[in-house]
Amino acid sequence: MARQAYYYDSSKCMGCHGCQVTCKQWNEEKADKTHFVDGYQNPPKLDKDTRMIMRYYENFEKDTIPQLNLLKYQCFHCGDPACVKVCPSGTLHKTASGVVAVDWEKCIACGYCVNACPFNIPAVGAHVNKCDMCRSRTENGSADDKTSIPACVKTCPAGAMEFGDRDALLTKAHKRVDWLKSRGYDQANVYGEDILGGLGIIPVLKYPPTNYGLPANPTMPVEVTLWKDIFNPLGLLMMAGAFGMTIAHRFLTRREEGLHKSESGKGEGDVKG
Amino acid sequence: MKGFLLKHEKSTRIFHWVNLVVFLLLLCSGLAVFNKNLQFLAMLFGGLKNAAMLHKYLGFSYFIIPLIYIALNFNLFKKFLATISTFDEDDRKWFRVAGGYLAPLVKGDVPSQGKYNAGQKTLGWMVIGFSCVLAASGLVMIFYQSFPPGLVRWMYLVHSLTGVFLGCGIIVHFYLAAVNPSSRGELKTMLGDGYIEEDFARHHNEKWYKEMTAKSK
Repeated sequence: MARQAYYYDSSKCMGCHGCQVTCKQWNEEKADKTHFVDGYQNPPKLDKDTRMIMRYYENFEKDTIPQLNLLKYQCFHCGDPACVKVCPSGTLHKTASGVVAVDWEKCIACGYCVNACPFNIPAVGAHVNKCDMCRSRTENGSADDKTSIPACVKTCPAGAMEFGDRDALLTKAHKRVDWLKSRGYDQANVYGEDILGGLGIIPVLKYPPTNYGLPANPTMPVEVTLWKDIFNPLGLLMMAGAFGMTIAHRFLTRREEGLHKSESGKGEGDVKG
Repeated sequence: MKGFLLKHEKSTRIFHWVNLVVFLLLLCSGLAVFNKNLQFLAMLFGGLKNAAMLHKYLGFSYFIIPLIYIALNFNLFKKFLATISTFDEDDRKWFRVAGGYLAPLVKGDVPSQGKYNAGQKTLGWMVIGFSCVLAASGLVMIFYQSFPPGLVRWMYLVHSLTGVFLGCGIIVHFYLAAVNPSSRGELKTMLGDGYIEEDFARHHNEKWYKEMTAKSK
């Protein structure tokens, strides 16, 4: 199955919070009473009841071109997800269409995914909570009434989002970047086409990713690779080795005991003979 | 008791039993979470969720129980530390001949040993050291929200490394103490009444035997 993704064009986004509201509504998540802390961003971060937030990066310093950089922030559905690698219970897994899905009933709330994620996106309460690209819609809905596309994509009034085949959307994103560049946004870019196995969310940004609070080049943490890809099988081998060695020792010493007996028996016989 | 020597005090034996049960539960639940191929161990606890829950909360008792023992029996603990800290020429020689346990492969006379042989002393330090590391890294893992993610990720690696090493050490410890015919005579000194035959002690712990018998005379 081709990899599904959605495209998010930060240059078209107007920061209306529509996607954030509809995300809560569709996924039936509790909304806490909050207050604005700094700028328009609210609530301040993803939590156990919030899968998606709009992030606002403002720069209105004197003598610079004013910037209001918007970023729709949620799980980026990595092609090579660290959270899936560390998940011990199989709660987090990749579907055939490349979505990092959540089977929350299996979750043991260990928090491994929270720390393994290069973006620290999953949030854990009684169980993990993160975007699953509206699997409930994409796998059951129909294209006629647009119930088969994620709630956030459907609700966007600015036309900043589109859901579909990843390759087709990448082409579209690059076209948009070229257009932005022709309009003077020299730093326009598509974020995360190749990082972490290729992100499943394709954000088009007008400025470098760091202006949107995104790491420029996140990678799979080396300690996660050491832990899960190297030590996990090695540890199993060590336990089996220690167990096997004791069994081998018991078996061999038993034979040795027998040898000693027969040898001493022979020796006595020799003396007698 | 005539012909017997008391090797381990009652409080030490009770502590060993409690720690044995706690450690085994922690090891099984920990391994179930550690490796998907060992996830069947979670069936002991009725599912991975329960195993993880038990591991988390029993973890606290894993370092609280030893602290209680140390507080109540500080002199015994001090003596134990002093015993496992002395490492003389005989101990080094013991390692060269692997305690005589690998007899056909590694040959040589086994030097006379104190209350604990060099292997037991090493295991003592290994248990103390690794348990401290396990406790510290485990605390970071439970309260991960209070620590930087990079540190927590390293603690995941350290916790599984030390846990597996200690698990391997305990497998060998169990084997030598309970299965191997030449050494399993000592099993009852820790899990039973605490007494050891004088003959056994003279053979295995000659220095300690001399010390004990000299005192009583």
